[in-house]
Amino acid sequence: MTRGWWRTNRAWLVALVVALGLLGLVTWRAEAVQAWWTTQPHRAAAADADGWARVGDVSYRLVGLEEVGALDDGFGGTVEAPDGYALLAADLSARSQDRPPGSEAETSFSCAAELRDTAGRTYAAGASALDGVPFPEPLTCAGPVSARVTQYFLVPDGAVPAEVRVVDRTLLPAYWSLPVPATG
Amino acid sequence: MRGVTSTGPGTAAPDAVRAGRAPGAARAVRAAVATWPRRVAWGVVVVAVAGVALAGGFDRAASASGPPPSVAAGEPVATGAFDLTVTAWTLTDAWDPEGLEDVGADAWLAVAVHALGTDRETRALDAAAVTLPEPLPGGLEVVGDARADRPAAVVLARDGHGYPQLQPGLGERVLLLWPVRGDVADPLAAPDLTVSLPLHVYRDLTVGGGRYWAETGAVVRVRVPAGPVPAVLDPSATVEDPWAALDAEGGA
Amino acid sequence: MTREHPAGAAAAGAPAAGAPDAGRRRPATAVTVLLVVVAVLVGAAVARVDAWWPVLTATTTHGEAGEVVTAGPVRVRVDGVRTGSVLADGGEMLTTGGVWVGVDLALSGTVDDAVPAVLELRDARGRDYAASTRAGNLLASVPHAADVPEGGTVLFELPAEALAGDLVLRVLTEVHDADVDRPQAVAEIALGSARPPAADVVLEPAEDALVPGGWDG
Repeated sequence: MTRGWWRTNRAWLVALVVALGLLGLVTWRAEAVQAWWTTQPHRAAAADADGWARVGDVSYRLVGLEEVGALDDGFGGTVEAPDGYALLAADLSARSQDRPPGSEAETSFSCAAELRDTAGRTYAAGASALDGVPFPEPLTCAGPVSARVTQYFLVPDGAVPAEVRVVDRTLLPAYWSLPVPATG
Repeated sequence: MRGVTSTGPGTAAPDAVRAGRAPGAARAVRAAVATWPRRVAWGVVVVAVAGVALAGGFDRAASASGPPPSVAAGEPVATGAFDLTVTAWTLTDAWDPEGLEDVGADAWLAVAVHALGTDRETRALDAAAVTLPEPLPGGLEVVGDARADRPAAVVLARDGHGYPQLQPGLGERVLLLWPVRGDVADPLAAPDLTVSLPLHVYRDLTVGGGRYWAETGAVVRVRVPAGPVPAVLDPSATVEDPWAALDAEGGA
Repeated sequence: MTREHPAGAAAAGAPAAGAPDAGRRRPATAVTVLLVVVAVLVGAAVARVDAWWPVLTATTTHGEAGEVVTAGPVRVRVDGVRTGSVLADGGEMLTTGGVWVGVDLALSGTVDDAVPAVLELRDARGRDYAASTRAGNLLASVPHAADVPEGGTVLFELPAEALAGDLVLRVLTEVHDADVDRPQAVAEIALGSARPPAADVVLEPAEDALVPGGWDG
């Protein structure tokens, strides 16, 4: 392409770049792409130095994650994980910026915790595959809160937890990302 | 990219001169096929008409060819995805009385049909698979959300299970139920009911991908006698269920 | 076709701007030819991309009974096939004009909670029998966590003549594919032939339960 070519076609080349930019914008704004982006967790709120991650005015911290032998079924008995599986208990701490005196935390069923392992698998809270397990405690993702909650996950043996996520469907694509500290 | 230069006007002039001595009609015909573009256009027209005729586009529409055919009850009718054999109809208020109260109906009008799936897939009966005549005989009328071509419920005659999914090659007796209001007299003295079975053909959806069993517009009429109430609807029915005799042939 | 016009116009622009020049016309033709070739290759690649990256087409994974078969988001293993002429469903005994076939299998997700859309048996004549809705049959209707297999029995009702040949279990992960062509992951597991049951044999489906030991157990 000679200098003459560039000079002759400069207007159209500029128009081409602008057109490609507009095409990208239109594609990005298309319903299918927006639906995928806004309904999946894509924007991680990373944990700070103390482990608190914040979305809106609620912050979450992973206090601890450990394997437990059994959990309470709510009727005085216990439910154990069978051979080949591990029951993990994640201790979560929640707090919010504004806490007007006398206000109560409002749990929401759109707000739930999930566990991701190093293989990229995601497990929902509640270990519902086990018989007799109670429903997981609902979490609070908005409004005033100061609470400590335990969430249980049933994972196959050999799954190495990497991250606990707290996801509120109504706040997607933002979510709380709480990395699991690597055990030595 | 350069564009096809027309040859029409160029060659028409000598033709017109040559044909000047011939009669007007012949001249017009010769002018009509004088140039290649015109010949191609005529060819396209001929091929299009012939193609439509060969594909059956000019045949009489099914619904335009006189009154629909009629068969007697108990004869299987191939309607597309199912071979349907309508056997009898009846009235009962013993089944689901709360459902009758909810819509203000006096009884259920039940039509018994033996359905044999002839397709290669599990399918449910179309809502309009058996369509009631309008108006219903005996002064009955369909109430609630049901329509003549949309029964309120379809149940298996075997055990009353609702919304049956019929497996291919496995014939089952089903009961179609409409809530009706009217003079609910002795069902065995009731008149014959002439129901319509729409025929279907499996074809492509015109918009979007996929296929479906489409109604062709043609129907088959079946004249159905009244019969006793089947045991699944009314366990206390004292009349011995004469439809049980159909179980022997029901496994076809 | 339309891709050639800007190329042709640009190529024709060069000789028009300068003096009509035989030396300039050859590169213009060469550029046109090159762009035509590129357009054809790109078109061919776009047509074949579904085959090269089968994320976009129906992908069928074949397997046998006893193997763990992965189809997209779902993992399944068939452990056995049983037949009966009467089905014990909870407290009820369900009769049939054909045969009850129970496929003992285990289901799990692959990377997330997953539930198959359709389970059906295909007989030797190519007819598909979907899992029966007459009985409880919920194992394949609830989501299962990734690599946390739950075992149970999925029930099918077949006409007797369907047992004459071999049966194949088809697990469809998104939609029933009889009427709709849609890319989805499918697992097809050969079950061999099932023996027709003797009269009055009752088929008792196994209770849904976690498979002890997971997939490796």
